[in-house]
Amino acid sequence: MRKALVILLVLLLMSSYVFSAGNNESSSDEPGEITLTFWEMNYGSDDSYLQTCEALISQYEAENPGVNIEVTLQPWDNYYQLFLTAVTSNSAPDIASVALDMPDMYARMGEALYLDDVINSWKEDGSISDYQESTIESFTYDGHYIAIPYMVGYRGVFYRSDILSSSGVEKFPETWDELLDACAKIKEAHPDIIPLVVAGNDMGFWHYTMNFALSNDVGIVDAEGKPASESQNYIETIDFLKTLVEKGYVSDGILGHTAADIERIYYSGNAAIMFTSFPTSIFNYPEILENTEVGSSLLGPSGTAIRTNSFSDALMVFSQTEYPEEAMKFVKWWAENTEPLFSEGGCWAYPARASFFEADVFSNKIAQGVLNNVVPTAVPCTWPYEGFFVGFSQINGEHTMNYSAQEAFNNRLDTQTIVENQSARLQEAIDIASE
Amino acid sequence: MKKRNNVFTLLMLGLPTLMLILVSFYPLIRSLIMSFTNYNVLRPNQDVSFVGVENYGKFFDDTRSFPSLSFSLIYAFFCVSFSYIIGLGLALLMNAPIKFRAFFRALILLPWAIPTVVATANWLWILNDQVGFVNIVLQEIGLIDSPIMFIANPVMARITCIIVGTWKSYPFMALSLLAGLQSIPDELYESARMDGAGSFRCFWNITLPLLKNVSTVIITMMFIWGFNNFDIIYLLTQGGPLERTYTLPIYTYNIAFYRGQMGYASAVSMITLVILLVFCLVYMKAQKLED
Repeated sequence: MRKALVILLVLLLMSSYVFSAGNNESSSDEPGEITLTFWEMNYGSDDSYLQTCEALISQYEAENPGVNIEVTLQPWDNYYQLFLTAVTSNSAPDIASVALDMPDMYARMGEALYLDDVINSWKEDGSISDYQESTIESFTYDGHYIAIPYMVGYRGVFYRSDILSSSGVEKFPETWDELLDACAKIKEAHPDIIPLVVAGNDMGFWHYTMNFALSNDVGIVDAEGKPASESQNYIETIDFLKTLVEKGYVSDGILGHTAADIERIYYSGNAAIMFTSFPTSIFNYPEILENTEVGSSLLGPSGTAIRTNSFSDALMVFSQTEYPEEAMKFVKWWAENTEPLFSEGGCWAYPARASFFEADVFSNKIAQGVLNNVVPTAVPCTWPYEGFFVGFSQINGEHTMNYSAQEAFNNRLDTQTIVENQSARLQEAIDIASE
Repeated sequence: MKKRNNVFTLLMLGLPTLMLILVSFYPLIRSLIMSFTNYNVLRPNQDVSFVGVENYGKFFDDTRSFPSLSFSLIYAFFCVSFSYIIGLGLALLMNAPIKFRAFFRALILLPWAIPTVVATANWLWILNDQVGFVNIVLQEIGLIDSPIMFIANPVMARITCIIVGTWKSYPFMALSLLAGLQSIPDELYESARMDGAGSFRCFWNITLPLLKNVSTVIITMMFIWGFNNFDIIYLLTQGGPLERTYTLPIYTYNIAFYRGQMGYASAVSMITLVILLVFCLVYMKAQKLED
């Protein structure tokens, strides 16, 4: 019987340990000390990223005695579920770096702490100009700032200047018609080379195809938040994508290609233009890098300006925090002082702060190309809607916009059916989110 | 002493039962209750109210539910059928007195042992239309003129999912059937041969009937696993292209996490459970009638 009791006791102790593992509160705090939990998404490619984070945190802790920061580097796999589960089970971190649609989603749930004080202090001292205004304003909800732009993903193109010039294309096309002409010339001069590659089997396929739409003055929704897929400008976009397929300017297997696939094709010299998020893997192929240039989006027939899709991740504070003031102080400090993440930590994303681009690490031709050719044309992915419209997080999560892009490249349905279906899907998502 | 043993036995049985209730029955009951509510995880301040069978009704009006259900059934049926045929063939070979039998047994286990993430990434590479091994070899030997679009073509994407699903599941089938084969007494075959029975007759009249029990169990289990499969299909196609490889688990996942509609997602899960239970009951009933 005694043995059984011992076993029971051990099991109880084990289960109490297991069930208390999710508790955020640190029991090791000295009186007067607090601990803030900080979930940083993994923007690094090796250990140096975490080491740089820890060094920065040590610096903050030294400058702010009594405040301990517990940092956890979170992987991107299942990040959405990770945060949702943590928030709904009251185990949210105090501060986190999050993907672009999450601040709005959590603000609607009443889980985002307003960061008006932080943004207003930057407005007062003028440092707000370090950020793109549209990005700052995209993180607002109900008239309040809910997050701080942190890392930005830009979408544009890599192109082979040598292939273009040997095909008789002297400068990179600026309009859709010029692109068609360039593709025709490439195909004629280099029949074995695919003029244009894009990852059709990628969850972010729509990021690239929407570059065409945005540069034809149409977004996912209009400025009022209504689906814009049935507009003439979007119809032109779908027709253009179908033309690329019909003329054989994209590979037949486009809908099966992931980002890794098209990178392999491009790096092996078999593609002239690649729609990309500018991966650093290109530095492993010096001979390709030498002849690669960075391009932006291309102007459509009804477009008034070239626009490229940008996706800004953000820093936010969850309202579940017990220490809102300290959390806000930390988040402000972190946003201002994380330049070493790029210069020392090997961060693969681009900074939301323009001044961070001055670091040596951004002096290479790819980063300079992004800075000079892409950043000036970048708009938030929800353009022309200001902020995030209702239902965006579902549309982003389910890759709803991939539908029309994939159907266009599949080229089996007529354009009108595609845009009607796309519009219905968007409306469904908006209706569900508005219920 | 006997009383002590009884207490100990009860304790040892009670704790796992308690754990089973906590980790298995509690979520099931909670999911059942949730399926009758409008619970949305993205609206913590919303009053959760009882909506009757509204969520179940929604399933029948939903344009994505039946295509997802249909591919779930197709996937499970073909994966189980093909892996049974391959598994049985391999089990018969491994049961025969061949050289390096242990080595071959280990080799056959490989697909089962490789993590799904690694396996699907490799399959995607192998089947790639531009740089994939399969397409290059088929084109080199002149069997095809242009690459097969294993993932890009909606029909081929479905076939690819079934191929990879079969590849991943046949080792378990083979091992289970091998265990069944080894439990058949050799005397039965010896007497049959003395009576003039050939190999096929032995297989048809001894092996297959005596494998019936183990076959029933593994076919049922594999069908449930196949029907509920999420990882292989999601990692290969994410439900695409054009949602043609959506299965009920993938659809349920999207409803629950991206739409936050836990009530509706629970109802779809309950419907999945009922469908599987019906299949199991029909199959077991059919087996009983045959016996």
